[in-house]
Amino acid sequence: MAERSDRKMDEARLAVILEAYGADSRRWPEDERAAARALLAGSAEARALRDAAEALDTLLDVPAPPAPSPELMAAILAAAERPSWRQWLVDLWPIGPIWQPASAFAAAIVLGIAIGVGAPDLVLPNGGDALITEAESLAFGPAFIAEDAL
Amino acid sequence: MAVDTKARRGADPIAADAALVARIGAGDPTACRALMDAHLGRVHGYAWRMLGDAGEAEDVAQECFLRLWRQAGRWRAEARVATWLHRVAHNLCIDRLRRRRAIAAEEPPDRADPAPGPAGESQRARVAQAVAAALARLPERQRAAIALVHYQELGNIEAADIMGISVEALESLLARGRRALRAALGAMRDDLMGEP
Repeated sequence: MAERSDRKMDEARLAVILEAYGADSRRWPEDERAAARALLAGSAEARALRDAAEALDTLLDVPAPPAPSPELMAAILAAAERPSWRQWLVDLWPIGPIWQPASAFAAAIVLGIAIGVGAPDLVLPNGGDALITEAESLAFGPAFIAEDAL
Repeated sequence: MAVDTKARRGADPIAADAALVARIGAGDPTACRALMDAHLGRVHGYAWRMLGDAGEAEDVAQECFLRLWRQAGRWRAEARVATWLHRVAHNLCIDRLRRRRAIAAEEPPDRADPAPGPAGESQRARVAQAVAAALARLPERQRAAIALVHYQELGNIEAADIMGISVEALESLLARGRRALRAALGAMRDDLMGEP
């Protein structure tokens, strides 16, 4: 974003700056700072506005934030020391511990292998058609077989 | 080494930050420590001003740095680290304030304004409490504008960028916020100035 330097400095603009940014010129817009300081030096009215802004600044500076706790700093640094492969896992599964989806995946693989090895052979010999017809008859009734046969 | 000195003096802060973050991405713990030492206090302070709660401010600050560590390997030299951290902190604070509002809408508040402190409490502590309360009562965008410009001492362009608004809009928020604070704290100035 480009600095604006085309704005004319006058008492009205200086009043807006004091109203918005307060009395400390280090907080004023950089491109208007020099002109505003020069105007302030020559205007008693502007200095009165500056004094009012300074009173509020003084009040605002009273409450000081607490210092970050040592526990917070330790936690932040500990997170930075995490090995990169663990960070990759966290990025991959940010919802919770990675062992949860990993366990589910492993269980699915084991179950698939167990079914594949332990289940009876589902490839039917030549008599398979008869078995299927019998199963359809039991499930849907003889009419289904008759229609299917047509 | 004249060249080195000149390079340091004229160093682009964005490039300098990018070099530091690259060291973090490479697993350099001293770079992590340096970056945390440089920015944690300010980020934590901003969150505290916005949320008014030390515990929540620590949560926000921690999340900001965790995101930076995650981002370090693919950091692009487009912004200063301070700007990036403040933008993340600002967004996290706004999210938390919105969640608070949603909860407050469902559950009527059961807490009154804080009672005056004990008689022995110093004037300065009472002023601090009053200023914190007045800031907390500001609309969140006015509070964010004042926190970024007055407390964090960021430039107007950078602060507006963090909030995703124009500089003119930022000035309007600042002026309205300061007027509201002046009205709320009118009697406090004499109280503060009266303290020896």
